Amino acid sequence: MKVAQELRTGNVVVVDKAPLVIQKADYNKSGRNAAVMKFKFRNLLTGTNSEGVYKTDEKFEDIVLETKEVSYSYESGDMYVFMDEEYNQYELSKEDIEGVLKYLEEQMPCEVTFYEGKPISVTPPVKVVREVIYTEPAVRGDTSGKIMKPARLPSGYEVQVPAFVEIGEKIEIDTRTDEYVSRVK
Amino acid sequence: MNFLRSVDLFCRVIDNFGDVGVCWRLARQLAVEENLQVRLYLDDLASLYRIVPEPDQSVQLVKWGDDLVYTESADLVIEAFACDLPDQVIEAMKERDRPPVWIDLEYLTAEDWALSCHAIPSVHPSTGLQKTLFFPGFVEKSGGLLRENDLVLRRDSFQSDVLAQNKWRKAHNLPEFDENFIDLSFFSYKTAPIEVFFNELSEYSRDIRVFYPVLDGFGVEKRGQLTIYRVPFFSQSDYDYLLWTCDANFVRGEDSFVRAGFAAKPMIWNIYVQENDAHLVKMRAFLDLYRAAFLPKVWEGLAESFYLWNLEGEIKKGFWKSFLDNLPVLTQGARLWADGICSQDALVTKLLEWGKNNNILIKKDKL
Repeated sequence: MKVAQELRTGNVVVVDKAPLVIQKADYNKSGRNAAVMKFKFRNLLTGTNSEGVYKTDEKFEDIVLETKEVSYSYESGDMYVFMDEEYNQYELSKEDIEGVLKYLEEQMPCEVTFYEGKPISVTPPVKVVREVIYTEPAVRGDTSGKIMKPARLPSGYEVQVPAFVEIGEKIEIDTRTDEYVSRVK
Repeated sequence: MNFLRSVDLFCRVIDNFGDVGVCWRLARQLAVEENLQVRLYLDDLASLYRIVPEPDQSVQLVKWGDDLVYTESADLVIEAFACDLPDQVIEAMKERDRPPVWIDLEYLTAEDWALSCHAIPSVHPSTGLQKTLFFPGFVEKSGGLLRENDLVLRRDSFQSDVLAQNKWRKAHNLPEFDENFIDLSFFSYKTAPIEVFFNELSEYSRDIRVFYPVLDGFGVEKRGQLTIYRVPFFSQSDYDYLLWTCDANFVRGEDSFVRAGFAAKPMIWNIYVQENDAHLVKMRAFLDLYRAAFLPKVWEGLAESFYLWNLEGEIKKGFWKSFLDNLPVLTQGARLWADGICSQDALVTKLLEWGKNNNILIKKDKL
């Protein structure tokens, strides 16, 4: 069993007897509200998509499937190609890897999950380092980290960073929560 | 499809009166305005009696303790603020021929992520029941705000009738309306910079009266231009009249904050403090919406007042003077804000409409 907060893109869970692969996992928390996870699922038996919103401590039965270490290689039409150490290639659709796209870059190490021999999803590394390609100018003197602002990554995805982060700086991001972790010198 | 006749609402009182206040409002509106059978399960009835001394019989109150016996689920089960339903409630829900609609009513927030998570029916992983998180909010796409059908009518009638206001004030040992005074209602957490604020008020150019509901230590205190009336807590319904009769309101938490918005008077919000300053993110999201109602020339000062009242920034002497000076202009903005939120469907309407649109909830009497 895993709690919702531990689940990540690429994991497979059983809900109402159906195996669902998590295509996207978003973590949200604020104020007194319960922290919640919003998942986008694909049913591995029927192929249908669904969404679900859960408290982070909700327990799920997870299925351990075959996985393989790979790295992202290239985009080919509508498909994304990943390669293992033996140069075997695995193609996945944009929908299959929706939750990973924001961090995807060439040679990024990932883990491909297989269901009945077929690649079904990709899990990114827990932490990634990405360059900030745009953000509003830093606020002078604010080193508290309390004031946050959006910062754009090369993929176009925006992540909230402390006000002191500047364009061109590299930041570490936790891919489980999409949260800024630290600046990387 | 469920034909909706009955509602069970579960609430654990964490602290203070906000959670129980919200749940009582919701329960009562479902019972009185929607004519549903409502049971309100509370682990702390005393907190309810503090703000609703004599609850009417429209809602069946049930003490939620270890000895709770729950055998039959209602058509709609509302779990307020992720209070975790007892196992026997879950079992009773599973045993129904048609599962009930299970709603997790969350805290109010203006943050965008709440809109993206609002009202998405989700199959509960361990029970197979469908559970839906419902997020109240200030915009159309949110779950809305708890508002009684007759609230605007009652507010406008009261605010346009000085005699009615004076009658109400007299009944609560408050001084009569006098245009020479600025009247403020005051309800805050102890974290707010209260003494600095009172000292500033005492040196203002006009007389100020602060109506300060407290649990004990009642009495009147005079400090320069300021007179503080420490008065007993108001009932939930009387608190609205206090907000409506004052020139501005200092409020806290969730329920009084929402009611102050409906009051169409300037307000300052003392938000419930959370770890990692999560409350400031929440307040900023609210201010991003609130800003639209106010003229730019007064907005910056008003927003700064919110931050200072929540201990973000350094209060400079004379700061509160501009807030008091600007009350007439701020009142125009507060009216605009109130008109905006009152023009939207209220939470109960949205909840029932959502159920109908998702083919999971239809009131039997609407068939």
